Amino acid sequence: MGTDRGSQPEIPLTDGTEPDGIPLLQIKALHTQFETKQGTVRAVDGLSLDLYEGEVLGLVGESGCGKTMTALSIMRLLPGNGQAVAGEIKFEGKNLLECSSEEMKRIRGGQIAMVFQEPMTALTPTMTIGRQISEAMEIHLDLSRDEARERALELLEHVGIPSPRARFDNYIHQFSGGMRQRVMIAIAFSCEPRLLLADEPTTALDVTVQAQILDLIKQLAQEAGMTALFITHDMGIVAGSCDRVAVMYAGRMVEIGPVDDVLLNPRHPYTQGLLGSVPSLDSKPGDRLFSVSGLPPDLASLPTGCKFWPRCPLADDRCREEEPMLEQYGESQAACWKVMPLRVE
Amino acid sequence: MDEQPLLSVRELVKHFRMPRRSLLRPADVVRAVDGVSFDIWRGKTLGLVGESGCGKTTTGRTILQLMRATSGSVHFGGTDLCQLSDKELRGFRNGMQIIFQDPYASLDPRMTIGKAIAEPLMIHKLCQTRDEASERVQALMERVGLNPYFNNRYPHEFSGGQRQRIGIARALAVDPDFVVLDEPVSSLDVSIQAQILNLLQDLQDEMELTYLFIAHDLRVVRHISDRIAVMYLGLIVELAQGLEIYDAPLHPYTQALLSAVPWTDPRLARKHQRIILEGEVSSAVNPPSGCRFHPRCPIAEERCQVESPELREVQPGHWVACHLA
Repeated sequence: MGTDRGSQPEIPLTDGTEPDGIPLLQIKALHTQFETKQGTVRAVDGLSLDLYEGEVLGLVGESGCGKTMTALSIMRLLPGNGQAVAGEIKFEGKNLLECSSEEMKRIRGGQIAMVFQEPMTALTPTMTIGRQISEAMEIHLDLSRDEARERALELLEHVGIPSPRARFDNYIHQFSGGMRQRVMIAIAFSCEPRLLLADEPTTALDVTVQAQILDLIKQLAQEAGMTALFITHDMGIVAGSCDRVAVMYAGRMVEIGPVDDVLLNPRHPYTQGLLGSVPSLDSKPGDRLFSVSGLPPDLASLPTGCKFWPRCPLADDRCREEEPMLEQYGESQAACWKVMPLRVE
Repeated sequence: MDEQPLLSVRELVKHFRMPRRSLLRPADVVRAVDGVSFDIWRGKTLGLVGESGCGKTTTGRTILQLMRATSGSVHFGGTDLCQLSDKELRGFRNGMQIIFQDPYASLDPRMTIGKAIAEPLMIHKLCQTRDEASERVQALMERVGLNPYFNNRYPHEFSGGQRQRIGIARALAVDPDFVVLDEPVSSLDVSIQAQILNLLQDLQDEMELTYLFIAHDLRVVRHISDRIAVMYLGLIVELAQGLEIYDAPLHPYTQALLSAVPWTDPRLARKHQRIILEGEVSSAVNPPSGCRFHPRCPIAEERCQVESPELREVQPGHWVACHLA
């Protein structure tokens, strides 16, 4: 494709099309379900997604669309009543869903690491942060306690914690929100994972700190040649940090493609609605925002046909009866009977 | 803008005394709001932005006299609210309302939402009979996009966006002139955010409401505000017409904030040169000397460490507190 990105070489954007080669992570027809009193909740409902070596893929959608459950399915960290009932998740040729819990322990935190939205709940309050970082390295990298300590100090410095030696024996409550997220990033990167899952890593942070953290993740991932899945509800973060973007609705993918193509020329009405919901620099203050009406569907009783039709301004009889599959449009794929470009350049 | 502003805040100060940690040392004082002045005209929106802990929420609550100011004045329709007794204030309460970030925390979980919306009507004796109140509740629920059929339900049965609609209905029940919106959409999904922003704008047009819109998302603030004030460590560092701040920010802090905004246009995201601020916001207990922003400022000079810059009008309607702007 060869878009000109020469003006800013420090951002490791690929050309955005599906990179060649074998994907590092291959999700095939994944179904993750929860048994609840209301019935079976289909959190992920037939999702297929490939992640290629070295790319940063943004996974976007509203709360409850299945983004986090996709990540937790990969990590095999689903809550008790949830289970990946069908499909496969292939990581380096191995189906993670069939791995023993011993194997998963080695992969989790080792080859695949995850950064959570709320560091306060993801980190242990009763263990010093230094201990938490070195523990992972002692387990996964087989380092001695002293070696791990040295490396942990380097990492803390690398993620921008001032005076790491003094902070090493601090507890997590002694850190600010941004610093906590830096600690979690240090842990995630400590074992040099090949795949990073970042679940809303900056949602709880202020804008300036958010920018610092996003830049940090981007820089570290680039240095290590890491592949990353960025889960967010904010298209702005996708625009600045990702190569490709996948839009999820009701547990399935409705659109996927290179960031430029999807954000500048969204095909699916849901993607258009998500983009229109965020005020842009072009919009005039006071204009009405173009939004998605209504609420996300009840995952325990999904509508027939296209799952988006109850909220879609374009829906007709066909949409209500038949579910659209992903089709290729230009560089992207969208699942919609009514695909029509909103903004043609 | 010749007419009198509806709200006039002058040199507003709110300090909090921390519990004493030692007998030998005086108690720490958090200088949450440290001399803030601005005006809001009827029917307009002032956006108040800044990072966590900069004092924007305290400013909003002190204006409404939910906390009493340490010093300064808040003139609302000509009356200085800071000089009124609690009893005298009651008469003004229905003129000013607040909508909180977390509508769930601000609703009584054991009160049906119909009752919750009717409560302010009864307290302020705006409805004489129960029937009149329930009629009014029905109209309000319809107006904010809730099905009146649900008035017997409890807050936990609603989604975040719907709860925020309940909060809006409650605030508007007493027909206020002025509403403080404290991060009203920051806990909502983007699609729901847009629905609520549209609703707030429609209501403003219909009821000629005056808003103080407190938020940290600069995209949202740009969309809804006529003028914008940027706060840093208890002080306003820049104040101007909305678009002017975005087109030509003068304060280095505003510039850094704006450069960190994640716009959804990928071309813009790449072109944008981000100004990364060093470190984090200093403590409001011992704010830095001189300009409070100087430890993080990329262009600070010696003078900035000593002399505190005044908020001055550098262009008509554009105020900035920086020696170098």
